[in-house]
Amino acid sequence: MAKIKSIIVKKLNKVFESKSGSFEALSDINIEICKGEFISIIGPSGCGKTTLMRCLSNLEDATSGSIEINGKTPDNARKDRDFGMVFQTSGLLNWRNSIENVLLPIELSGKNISNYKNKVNELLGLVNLKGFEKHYPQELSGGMQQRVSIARSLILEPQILFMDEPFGALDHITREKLNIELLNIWEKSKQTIIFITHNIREAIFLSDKILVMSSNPGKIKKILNVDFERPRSDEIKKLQKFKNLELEGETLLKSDEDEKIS
Amino acid sequence: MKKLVELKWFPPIFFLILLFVVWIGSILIFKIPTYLLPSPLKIYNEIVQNLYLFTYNGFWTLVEAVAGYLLGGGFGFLLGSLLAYSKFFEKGLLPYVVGATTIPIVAFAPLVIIYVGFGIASKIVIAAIVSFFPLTLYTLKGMQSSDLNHRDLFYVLAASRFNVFIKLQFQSALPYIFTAMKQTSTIAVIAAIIAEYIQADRGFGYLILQSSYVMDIPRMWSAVLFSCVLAMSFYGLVVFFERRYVWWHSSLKELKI
Repeated sequence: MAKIKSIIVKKLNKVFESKSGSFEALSDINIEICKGEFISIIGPSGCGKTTLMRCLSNLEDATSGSIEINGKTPDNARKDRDFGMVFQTSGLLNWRNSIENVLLPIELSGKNISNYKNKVNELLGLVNLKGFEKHYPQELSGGMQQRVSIARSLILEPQILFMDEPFGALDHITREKLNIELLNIWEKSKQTIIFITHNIREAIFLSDKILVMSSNPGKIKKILNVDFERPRSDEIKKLQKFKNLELEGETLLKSDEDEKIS
Repeated sequence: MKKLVELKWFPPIFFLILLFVVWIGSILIFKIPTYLLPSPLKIYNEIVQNLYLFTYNGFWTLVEAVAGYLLGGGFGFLLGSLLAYSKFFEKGLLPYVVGATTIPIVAFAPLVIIYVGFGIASKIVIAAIVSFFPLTLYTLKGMQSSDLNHRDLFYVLAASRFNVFIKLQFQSALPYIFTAMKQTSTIAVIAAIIAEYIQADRGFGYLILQSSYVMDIPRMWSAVLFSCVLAMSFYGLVVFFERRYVWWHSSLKELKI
């Protein structure tokens, strides 16, 4: 059975022009992502991970090449609300409490918010924020804020979810907890998730495939397949296969660092 | 002693008492006659004995200042919003708005009185003019200062221009708008008094001017202090609303060093 493609990227290039000259952020990126896949993008700082995601989510225009999201241009996919996004910082509106923040996408899409009251509570429960519905962002910890923003990205049930280092600023333990929560959510929703991270262990634990990028210019160096059975638990981190993948990923990232130095 | 310093009301009261001590002290030491510089007690007596005079004139000054403040501020907010909404209007009008802020109100006020008339309407217009430009500029600046992450979020969520304006730009502008409203709350009172100096039959400007003709310095001082209290109360009211509506903004939190 041929799988339905969520995202097809062909020969994508992105060049930033500025007064100090032009900078090639992405060069010849080719990706195909199937519906329902969990894909991680990993690479050193400045390798263009975020730029790639911003091109996919229509926040940047490609310099050349093509991007198809559900068979549409990124602009049309955005307007049809085919995808949601979780940013590096939670980006919650300070003047809204948790419920009001989660309801923002509903308001902006012109839907009636009163139909979503139950859904909001369900989502806040899903991200373990029961009892914090009326709290304002300033009253929540960084991890809680990021969980509110995840709930916000899920309320419209987008087919595709872009996550740009959502757990980057969190401590190790909170991060692992949220990884498990994210997998639980994904197993129920069967969305396509594109997930940026610095952390190779996180990438292996979560993904079906890992795109390893190298920098200057940003390229996809290798695609690692991760075929652990699902649902996954923390136990898989103890397997030899997991450790081998981790080593392979680290070697790929390191060799990129070495090239840069030499 | 340490506990007293930490009390919220103590620091301002301490300096007020210090002011009175220096004030009364210099009157006693330099033997300044009362008709030149009255003591705070003398001013208090003056106000209590002529309470109707001060409240009557104060009432009219306040009416002019508040009406002008709301009118000018309201229109300033609308113009600022328009400039933030449309690049065309911003490019076309902003230079003139900035230019207009340099008009000295003292020079312009007599013209307003000639055009608008001798009643309180002309005083309201003058108070409105000084409230108008700060609100325009701060509203514009505030609306342009929305967080870049929030803008990305609204873009990805395919928000309409109107929703970006109401749900993001307006909210982001509120702290700026309150800054302008605090500033203009006191200058609207000053503008009303200046307008009354030029021509009026009531209000503090009128009272101070009349008293100066007969060199009634205690009464002038009383009027000055009374109008300060008036302007400060007005300012306090705006701060009350600011705390209520933009409590979430970082400017209202104490700086830790």
